[in-house]
Amino acid sequence: MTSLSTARDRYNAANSLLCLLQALEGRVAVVELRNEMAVKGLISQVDGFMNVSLQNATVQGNDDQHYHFEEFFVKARNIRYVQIPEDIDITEAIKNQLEGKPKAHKTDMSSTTKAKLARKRQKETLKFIQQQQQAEKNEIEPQPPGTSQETDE
Amino acid sequence: MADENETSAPVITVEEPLDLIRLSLDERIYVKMRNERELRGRLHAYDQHLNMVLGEVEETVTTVEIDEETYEEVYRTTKRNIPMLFVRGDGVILVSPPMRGSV
Repeated sequence: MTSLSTARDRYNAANSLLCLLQALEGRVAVVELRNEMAVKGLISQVDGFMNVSLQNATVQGNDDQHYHFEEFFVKARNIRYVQIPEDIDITEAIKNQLEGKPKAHKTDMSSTTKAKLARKRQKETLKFIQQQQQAEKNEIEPQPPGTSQETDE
Repeated sequence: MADENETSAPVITVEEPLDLIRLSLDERIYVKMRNERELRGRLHAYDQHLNMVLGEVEETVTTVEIDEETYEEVYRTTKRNIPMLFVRGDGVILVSPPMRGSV
């Protein structure tokens, strides 16, 4: 987030999936629009309303033609999907976005009961997901050979 | 967080509709979208606007064309797969567990 962001922006970001999109800043991603167009480019900024600025954007129009733009701005309501690069670990990204920017929590906004509750929920959810992932991992991991006591003899 | 049980595993209580979606975290779900679009994929995350992050998504787009000769409506579906997708909540109509028989 840049210095342009307001307290309200930061509040929105910390309390919705916006923070994940903001974690994509500096990455190349495809943004699909409601009018069937798709924009691929380097995401330079995502603001508190989910408006997205891209650089070096290639726009695929309805006519399947490609158009190139140095800068491209997408207004939030025109977004349908954002394709997230496969190498991004979303749990990690959200965590970094929430904890790596302690300034976002030091505004007056952060001391309200609502914000505290929301943060508590975020943490619980993150924890829950991590536990589930952990549980899944344990389930998937096959038993190492030799641990089984039932042998031929 | 006073209770020790709570710290070890947050208990999920259903108090509001969104809590139902929380039960589907990390499960495959079906999402009906505006403009005759459907998504099937694993729910990784969501928020209060129903913005969602889905993994291993299959998108189905249904288009209707009218046969020029018989004037019959022809439904055509186009499918595509996307490994990881952020879905903006304002396009979502409904979220449900996948229908039986389909993935």
